[in-house]
Amino acid sequence: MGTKVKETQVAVIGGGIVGAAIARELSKYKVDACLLEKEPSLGWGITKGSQGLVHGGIAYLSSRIVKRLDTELDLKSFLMQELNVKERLGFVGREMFFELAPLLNAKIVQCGRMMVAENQEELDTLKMVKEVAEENGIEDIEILDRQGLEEKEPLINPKFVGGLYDPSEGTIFPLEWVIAFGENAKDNGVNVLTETEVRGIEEKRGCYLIKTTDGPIKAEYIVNAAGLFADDVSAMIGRDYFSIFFYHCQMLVLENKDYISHVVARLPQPGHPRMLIPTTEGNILVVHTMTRETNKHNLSTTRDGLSDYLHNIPKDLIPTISPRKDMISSFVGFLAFNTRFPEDYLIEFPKKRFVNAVICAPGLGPSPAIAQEVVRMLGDEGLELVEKSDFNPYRFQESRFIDLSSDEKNRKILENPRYGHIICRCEKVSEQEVVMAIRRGAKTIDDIKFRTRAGMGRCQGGFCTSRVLQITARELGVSPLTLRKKGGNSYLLRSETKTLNAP
Amino acid sequence: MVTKDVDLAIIGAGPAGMAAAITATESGLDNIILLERAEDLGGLLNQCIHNGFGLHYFKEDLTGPEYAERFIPKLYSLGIKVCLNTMVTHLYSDRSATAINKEWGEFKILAKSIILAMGCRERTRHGIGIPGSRPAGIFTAGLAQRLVNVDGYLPGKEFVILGSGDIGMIMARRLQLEGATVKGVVEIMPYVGGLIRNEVQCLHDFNIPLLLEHTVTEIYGNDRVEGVKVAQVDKGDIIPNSERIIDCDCLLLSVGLIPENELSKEAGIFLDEQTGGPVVDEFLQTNIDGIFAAGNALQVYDLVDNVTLDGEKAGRNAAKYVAGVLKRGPKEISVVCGENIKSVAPQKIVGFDKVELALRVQRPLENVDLFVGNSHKRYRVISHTEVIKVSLTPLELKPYWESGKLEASCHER
Repeated sequence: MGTKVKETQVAVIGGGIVGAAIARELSKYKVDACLLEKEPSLGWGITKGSQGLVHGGIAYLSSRIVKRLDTELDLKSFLMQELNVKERLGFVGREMFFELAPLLNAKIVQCGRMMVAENQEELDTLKMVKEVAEENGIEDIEILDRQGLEEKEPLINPKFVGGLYDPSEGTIFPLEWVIAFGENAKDNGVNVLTETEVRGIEEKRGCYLIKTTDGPIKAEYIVNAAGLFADDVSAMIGRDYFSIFFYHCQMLVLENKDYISHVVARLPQPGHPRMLIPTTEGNILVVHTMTRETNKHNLSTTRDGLSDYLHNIPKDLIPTISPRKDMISSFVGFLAFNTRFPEDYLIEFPKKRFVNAVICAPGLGPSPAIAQEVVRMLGDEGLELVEKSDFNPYRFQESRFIDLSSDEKNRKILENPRYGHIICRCEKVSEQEVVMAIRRGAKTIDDIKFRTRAGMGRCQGGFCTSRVLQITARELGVSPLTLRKKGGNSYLLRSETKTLNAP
Repeated sequence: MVTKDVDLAIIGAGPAGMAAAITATESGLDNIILLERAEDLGGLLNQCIHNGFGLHYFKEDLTGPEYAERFIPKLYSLGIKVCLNTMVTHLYSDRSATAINKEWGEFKILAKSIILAMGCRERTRHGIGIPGSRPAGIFTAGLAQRLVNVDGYLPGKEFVILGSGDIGMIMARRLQLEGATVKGVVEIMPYVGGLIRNEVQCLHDFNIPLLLEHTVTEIYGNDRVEGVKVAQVDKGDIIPNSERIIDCDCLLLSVGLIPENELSKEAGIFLDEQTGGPVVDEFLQTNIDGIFAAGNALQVYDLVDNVTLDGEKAGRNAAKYVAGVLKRGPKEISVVCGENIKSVAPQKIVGFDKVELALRVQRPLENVDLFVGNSHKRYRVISHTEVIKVSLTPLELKPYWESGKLEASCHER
């Protein structure tokens, strides 16, 4: 616990994708900034459980279909409404992701989105979505008949008569990008503080005094990017004019992505996203029912959520999938919204030098654009934004060892034999990749897992956990007993066996 | 890239792979490579420090490491090339493979024959869909066994074990001996999943509660496991209002083993839905000529003794294959599972010699008539956990060449 007050110009509260993107955006300028995250690693809130989609235009427009149910407007005029903040930033953010990918050495796969129609009525709706998309300047949208659908997705259920294809949809591994934003921000001078939870905020002589679990921090400006907890943080400065409400979205991870090559989705129904997503890492994510939740700390999957119903979702789209056999993991994602603008972002200054960057789903794709917008607004509020001449936009990240060519692999093994020691059999991760993840700041077994994929495969760490514990203990110079799975008291081991204690 | 031309490449140096290497050498092959991803020979035997190994094969009661030690010196004295810390990353239908280690980097193997002896892996929490949170303190029983027996750490103090597979029951005893508390072994079926001897010696003898027809319906705890919800079940369905919470800091899972066949799939080898391993003939040869499968990669065995015998058979036949003397006829007989039979291997018969089938039944049976074709055997009890071996002579097989189908079935009197 530090008792000395740290000082900073801008404190960004919340190290999710939005907070991390804001931190990186700020690091372009001669601004002293810090990023505060309560978990041991960035991105372990809403970001970790997100679907990893960087939407093309169609996803935004088609999700309007669900909302139209509450209005009197006919579908066409509803779809034609002006873009809201979320949609506007979504279109910009998507472009930015593609520009940032080579700079940050992070992956985005433009896999495209296929919306399928079961009957003529659904197909007519999709045609209308296409018209509206074109009027909004979204191009390359195709309406497919059965044959066209089959050409793109050969295993699709024969009951679908056609579909709409949007080539612009992209997928990312969200944690890779949070880490990339965070590392690049740090390289450019941002102070990234993990396991630093904000407990209260006071105003003192034109400054904010942020009380954290790691001591107080004095800041001139605050960005509230606390995600699920943004209402709590806003309330700390007496601005409790909104609250966050949220849904649980239970997801399955299937081992093999060979069944599909695009995001395959049915027309959205309220509470039923019904979608298969091919992840950048070679799995399929099954997205289904949303349920309203009230406990922000509850990340439990439920019996109903993992029930047969769930297994029918993928089969409804691709009959040959066998979710029971291919399922390697399941988890809960949060879809959060704010009560003030239930369908849009809330980005504003409720108080001098305090900006609420309150995002709703989807927030991943728009995040770089949100960051730009927030930093611009900070400038308007009086923060002096002078560009650094030595800003380094690049972040170094080696490719996964197993994906390299033979020559490259062998060159690396010659340089460092630890590349030749594969410790995770399912995902084929080398010892040296684990070592590098630790040297770059991974302290927990989950962090190593997310950075290297060791333990993310079909055996879920059954074989590599013991190896990863040993390597981590060796690299950090600690006992394996001190190592945690994630934050808090998530220690993996309890004690040494008595045989070791014997003389 | 380094290329290794060999007569036989064996993937995995557990009991199956080691036996295969020794027998193949003794059968005349001298250019063999034995590839093992771990740092030692012996596979999972190294973490099985309990006894009960070798009762049939050696007529002795050995621990896992002792059992492995019966093979390791022999392997070296025969001069078999052993590659430890070597991961085979790809396998192709032309019997070539790629592997990675520190010594040779990524290298290519061109083999005249291959034996798949990769063993099996454990089914996980997600594989059986237990809902709840994702705290630290959920381990498969085999991982816990490694942590305790090899690494020297206890992963918890108060345990609940879901599933009564052999590793689960053996770990229950092991943990109790280490001073931990095992609050219960929870089994969804009305009988244990592992051997009866383990039920008696590991659970009853140590007063560890066995909750038959129960299951874990939820896991609690955010950072570390704090408890599990256990419910009574009736034929797989949860009985309403039968749920109770057991406080514990660790949940171990012993809910089934799955033969490891990712490489086999990549090479285009057909797998059997029931065994989870390759479809083989009586030579343990897969649908790809010259690629054989043995041990737990072929089917999950009850006893290591059977794994060793499998390895020997595969080794012997690989040597015959390389010598060009593996004789098979123009026709084949499919062996199919009839009433009460869960799985059978080999799944097809192609040659003219005596054939040995390994069968498993679906559930424990009493006063049983076991039929394989016309041959008949009587048993007082058959456990679903044991592998039943049935031999058939060429004469007994003769009537089935015409129809090409032989059915195995089991009936309670």
